[in-house]
Amino acid sequence: MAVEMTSLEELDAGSRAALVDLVGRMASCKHLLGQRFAQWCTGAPTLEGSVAAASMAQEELGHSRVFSGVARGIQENEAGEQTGTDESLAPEILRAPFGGWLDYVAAARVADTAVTILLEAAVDCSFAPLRQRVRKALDEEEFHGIYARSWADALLGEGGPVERDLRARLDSWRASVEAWLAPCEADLAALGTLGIRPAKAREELRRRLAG
Amino acid sequence: MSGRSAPLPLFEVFARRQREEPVRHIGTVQAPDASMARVYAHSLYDEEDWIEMWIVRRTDIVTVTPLRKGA
Repeated sequence: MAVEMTSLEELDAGSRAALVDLVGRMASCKHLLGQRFAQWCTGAPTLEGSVAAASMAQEELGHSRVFSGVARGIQENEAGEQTGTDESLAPEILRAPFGGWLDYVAAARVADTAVTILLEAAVDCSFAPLRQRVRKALDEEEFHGIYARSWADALLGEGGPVERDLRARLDSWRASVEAWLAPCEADLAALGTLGIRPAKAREELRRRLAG
Repeated sequence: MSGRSAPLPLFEVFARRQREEPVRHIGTVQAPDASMARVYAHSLYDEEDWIEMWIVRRTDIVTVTPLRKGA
C-alpha cells in the first residue's frame, strides 16, 4: 500500500480533483438509489423481499451520507464551500422515478453493481477517510448483490412478457450506467498514487451482468 | 411472484448475542435458496446486535423425537 494519508493537503491538485469527482459520483448515485429503493420497497412480491428492499434503501442512504461527508470534507478544506448531493453526478437513468418493481430490480442489478466495482477498486486506498468507509459499505453490498441477482434471475426465468420487459430495462440501465462509468474510470486512472486500482469498470460490469 | 405455483422453501434462523449464550431459534424465512435466505435473515432479524447467525433449510433438519400424539 502507498503511504497512508489522512488529509487532503497531502494530495496533489490532480489527485484531489479526481478523488472529489469519484466520491461525489458514488455519493450521488447512492443517494438516488436509496430514494428510489425507499419509494418502491413495498412493491416487492414477497414480505421478505420488501423488508430486505427497505433495508437496502436505508443502507444506500447511509452510504451516500458517509461518502458525501468525505467529499464535503475535501471541498470544505479546499475552498470553504459546502457540497450537497449533486444529482447530475448520478447516472442519467437514475434521475427519473422508477416505473415499477422491474426498475427496482434493474437498478439494483446494474447501478448498484457498478458502484460496488468502484468501491472494490478503492478498498486498499491510502486515503484513510475513504478506505475505512469503503470496507463497511462493501460488507453490506454483498447482500445487495445477492438480492439483485436472485430477483433478476427469478424474473428472467418467468419467461414471456416479464422476461422481455426486464431484459429491455436491463439493457437501458446498462447503457446509461456505462456512460456514467466512463468519467469514473478516468478518476480511477488518476488515483493510482493513492493505491486505487485502475479498473476497467465498464468491462467488469458487463462481465458481472453476463455471468 | 406471478406464475409461481410451488411454495418457497422454509429456512429456520438461529442466532446468539454473546458467546456465553447458546445459539437459539429466532424465526423463519421463506426464500428460493440459501443465499437469499441469508439476505432475508440478515435484514429481517436485525433487532439485536447478533454475534453469530445461522440458517438451516427446514427439510435438512433431522428429527430425533417426533412430536408425540396427545402432547
